[in-house]
Amino acid sequence: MNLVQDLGLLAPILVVTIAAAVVLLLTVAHGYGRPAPQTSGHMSFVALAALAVAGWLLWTAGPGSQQAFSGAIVVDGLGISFGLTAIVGAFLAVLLATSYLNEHELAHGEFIALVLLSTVGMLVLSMAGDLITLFIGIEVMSLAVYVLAGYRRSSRRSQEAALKYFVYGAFASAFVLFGVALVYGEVGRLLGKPGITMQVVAQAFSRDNLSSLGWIGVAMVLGGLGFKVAAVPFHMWAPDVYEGAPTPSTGFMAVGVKAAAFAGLLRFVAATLVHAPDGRETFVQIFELLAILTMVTGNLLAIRQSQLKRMLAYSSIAHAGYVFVGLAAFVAQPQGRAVEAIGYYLLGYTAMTLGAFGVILAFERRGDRRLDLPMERLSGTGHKYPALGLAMSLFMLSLAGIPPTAGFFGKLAIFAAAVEAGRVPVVVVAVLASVAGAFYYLRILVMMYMRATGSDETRIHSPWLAAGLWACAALTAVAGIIPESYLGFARRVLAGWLT
Amino acid sequence: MGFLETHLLTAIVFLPLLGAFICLAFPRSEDSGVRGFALMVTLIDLGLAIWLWSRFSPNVAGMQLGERVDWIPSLGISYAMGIDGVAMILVLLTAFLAPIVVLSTYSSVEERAREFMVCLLFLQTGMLGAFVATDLFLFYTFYEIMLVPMYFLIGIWGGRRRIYAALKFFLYTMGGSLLMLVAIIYTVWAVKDQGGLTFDWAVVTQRLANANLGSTEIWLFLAFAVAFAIKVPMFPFHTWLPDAHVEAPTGASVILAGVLLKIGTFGFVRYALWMFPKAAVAFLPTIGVLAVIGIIYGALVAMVQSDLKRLVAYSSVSHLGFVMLGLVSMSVTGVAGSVLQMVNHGISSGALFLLVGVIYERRHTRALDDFGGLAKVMPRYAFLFVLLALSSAGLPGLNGFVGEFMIVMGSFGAMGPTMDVSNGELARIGISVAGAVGLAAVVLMVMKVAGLRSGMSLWQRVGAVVMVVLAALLVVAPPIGGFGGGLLVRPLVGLTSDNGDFREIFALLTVFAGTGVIFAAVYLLIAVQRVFFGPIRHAENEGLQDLSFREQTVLWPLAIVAILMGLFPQPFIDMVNPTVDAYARQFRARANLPAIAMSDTAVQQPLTPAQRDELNQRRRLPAPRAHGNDPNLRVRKGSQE
Repeated sequence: MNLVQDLGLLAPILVVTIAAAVVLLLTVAHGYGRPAPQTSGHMSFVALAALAVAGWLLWTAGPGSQQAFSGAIVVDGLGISFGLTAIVGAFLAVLLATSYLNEHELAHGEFIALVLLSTVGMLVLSMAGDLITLFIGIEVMSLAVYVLAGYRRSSRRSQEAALKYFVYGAFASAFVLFGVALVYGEVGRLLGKPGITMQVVAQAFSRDNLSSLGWIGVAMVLGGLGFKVAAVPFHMWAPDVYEGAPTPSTGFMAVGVKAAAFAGLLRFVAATLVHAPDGRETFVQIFELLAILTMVTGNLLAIRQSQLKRMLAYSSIAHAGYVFVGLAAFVAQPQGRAVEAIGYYLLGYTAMTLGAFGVILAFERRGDRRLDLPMERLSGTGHKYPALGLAMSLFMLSLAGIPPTAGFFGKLAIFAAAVEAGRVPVVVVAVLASVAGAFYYLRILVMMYMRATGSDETRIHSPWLAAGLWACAALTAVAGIIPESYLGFARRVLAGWLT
Repeated sequence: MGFLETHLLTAIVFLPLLGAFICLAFPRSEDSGVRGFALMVTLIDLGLAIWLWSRFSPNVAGMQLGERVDWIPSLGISYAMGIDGVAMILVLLTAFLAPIVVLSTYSSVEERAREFMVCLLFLQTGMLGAFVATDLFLFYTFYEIMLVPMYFLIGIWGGRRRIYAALKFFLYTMGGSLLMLVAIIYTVWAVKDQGGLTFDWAVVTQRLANANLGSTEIWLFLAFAVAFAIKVPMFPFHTWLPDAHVEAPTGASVILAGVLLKIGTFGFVRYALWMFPKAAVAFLPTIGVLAVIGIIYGALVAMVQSDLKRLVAYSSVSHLGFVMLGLVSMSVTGVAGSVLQMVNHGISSGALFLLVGVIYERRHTRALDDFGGLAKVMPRYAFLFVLLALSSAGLPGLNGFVGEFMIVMGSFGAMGPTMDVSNGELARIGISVAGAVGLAAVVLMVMKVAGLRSGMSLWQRVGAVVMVVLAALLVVAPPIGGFGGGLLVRPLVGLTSDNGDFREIFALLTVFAGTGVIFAAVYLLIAVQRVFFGPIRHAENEGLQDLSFREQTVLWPLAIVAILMGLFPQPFIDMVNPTVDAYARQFRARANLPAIAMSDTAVQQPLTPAQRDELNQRRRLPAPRAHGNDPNLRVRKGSQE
């Protein structure tokens, strides 16, 4: 293995990293601390170009699994498909964020650079070949997102959100790290030699003779990652942080972090639980229980919300629950279909959730001191701004799972994977939970279209916002109508992934 | 033209959607332009549907004019469409109602006409697609997509409680259909080992016949059945309907009653009953009982309504009970009658909703008490109303009669299931359910009709409820061991032993259903009498305008079709008969029901041509082994083995 070859494998990560560096340099050249001029978009262009290149490299990647840096990084189907989702999320987030930063006269460079750096962390996390890389990926991703959550330094609630996220997140990271240490020790005990790469861990777990310390380690890593995806009972931080963080940060955090953390979860369970027939069934049941709790809690609490971002926070919790159904199915019957389904679901979720945050962002005008958008403020906006209303309808219906949107097909794919694994009861619960979910998504449409009195909200008109919303809407619709395009890609890169 | 010819179904289904997108480009202010455009689109669609009809060959029982493209090959999902007799007649109905609805909106929809047209055309695509889809996934997509425009139609243009009604409509239907989605996925995966994943309806049905899913099939059937029962709506699931109808704008009500509800009954024919005959057969009596409860309940509740639109809405519950009764009778006449009745109900109820809309636009009230003597000031309106009310009530010579008569005949003579013991166990569940539902129905009915909710003291009310429950128990429930059932449920008991063929259940149900016809006449005539005859009690009514030219253009086509279908039902019966014939026969064969024999159809009735055909066709077939005349000769499942 020579260095050049290894770096070649990492091309997508490198492109994004270099772009982050370039953006930071541009910031310095521009003059630190001065707000960017209104028309400034060159940093966003750099970021978008880099993300597009990285995305293209991943989209055209071939099947098979290649290792770089002695197995610390694995470029395989899982990494490629989930990395692509993270990049799509970052791309859309940059589009939306640019209009937000322009509107609120916030500095561009740092924000864009942090989004890119966080994306690097996501890519590393989804391509982690050993447990240390997994941890590094989590940290790189999270540290940037903590800062993004507190990006509006003048706002106390933004600071509060950042602090809250950081403190909870630090705990979660510590959990992961401690869990990794325990698993490492357990691997050493079982194999008689130390090892940290996923392959060695899998070898040890297939001995099926784990001590309770080993299981505690597994549980701690799962808990730490469960925090990142905001699964019940690790979800408490989400509503406050979602509400307090600036809207583009919230959107980015909701989709990218979730996708990458699920990639990490999949990678971790594929190396551990899947190989331990003994504990597997127990964990399938635990995952299903978590899935049910997450879906039910998320959806029921979302019904009670009257603020949009808070509602979307609970909605994102509920969606983590649906993905957990797929994760449980994967553990019960490890095969590509479940991974494809989860990948598809997260891609669709990325598009529709960022779209919804984009619509919220459109109503946050300069000097707006509001923390969150109260639902009543939306009344009549569907008629006032037809394009925005149509887009929001699409996102809400997709989140509710109405065909032919990405949200629907994602649910179908996940449910199909669960049914294939013989897990029908949890699917029935998921279905009932999504009926409850439909209620609050429809309520947004009630507000936008069915209220007699119109509100005096005005929207941001910005080409960046328009481009972002169009992209989200197009992705939601196209992925829903021709899901085969993504499924074909996922099948190609995932070929032989598990063998 | 060649492309259009091979993709005619696609063109019919997606033309309205294309129209909807073009409508979005219309300016907001220019109202008349967008209506004219929508009218043109729906008329072209109707033309295409008629062209489809001309290419449809009624002698073929299976799917015709199919189209098929792989859609999501990795899950075995294809874009597959096809049409059979039942779908054909419903596509015609849908295409026929659309321009009428568009025309009716010229006066009823005053604001946001453009958005209204978009929703309407979008809805049109959903409904047509649901009828012609032959892939389970595609069907589900269309089935769900319909909810969205209807939700907006009710929620934006509806009445005072529109938001409540819209949400209730959406969530009810979605809840049912999501369970159906799980059942679809489960079914597809359960039969996967017979050659890979496929959502193709025909293939899945074929595979299900070979597969042995055991008791799971019951759950699958129930998931489908509940989804469609909500849509129909059948008795215990009907509560969304009156709300939705009363709040919906006229145009949406017409579509809702005319087409949307038919997708539920169509779903029973095409999916629930057809795919799971072995499980369905155990529930046929239960569905029959529920249907009859629906007929009587709907009629009685309609009788006491003071709101004209609510009255028509409840009459829908009653009429769709007839449709369901005919479907589960599984006789050719009964099922054919059901399909006709779906269309008839679409025509008559649609027309009645339009008529209610006309008077509402003039007076902004629908309360029966606000009218009286309208025949003097609005003679043309009165004529059309009476004509269409009579068609809805089933007056001979009008369309309603043909369907209802065929249903009653078909189900009266229907051969019920002969059960072996294991099925009998199953049926016991059915009996308990039917008993419980029957009890609830009687109590509810008495409470609603007798108006127990108001004007009585608490103790009087409690006492009355207790009395009703006791009386209902006597009628419905099996009170003491050995007696084995109340009046309503008694005949069901035959099926728990394997020596009774329990044919009498349908005869009895038909007798009860027959009372529904009388009730229908009663409530419609009461309404007619209170609205049109007697003195003019309110001064506001004296200056009412009679129907305008446009309103007559809207209503006369419906009236003409109602008369035509009443006098010359034959072409329509011919259209559905081969499909229905094959359907009933194959269902019976696959479900181990006694085959339909000559003498089982009602004797010596020259009245319905469908039966004549049935007999003629049967004479050409080899004589069935089992004859219905002598119960001892009948082949039973038990004796075969």
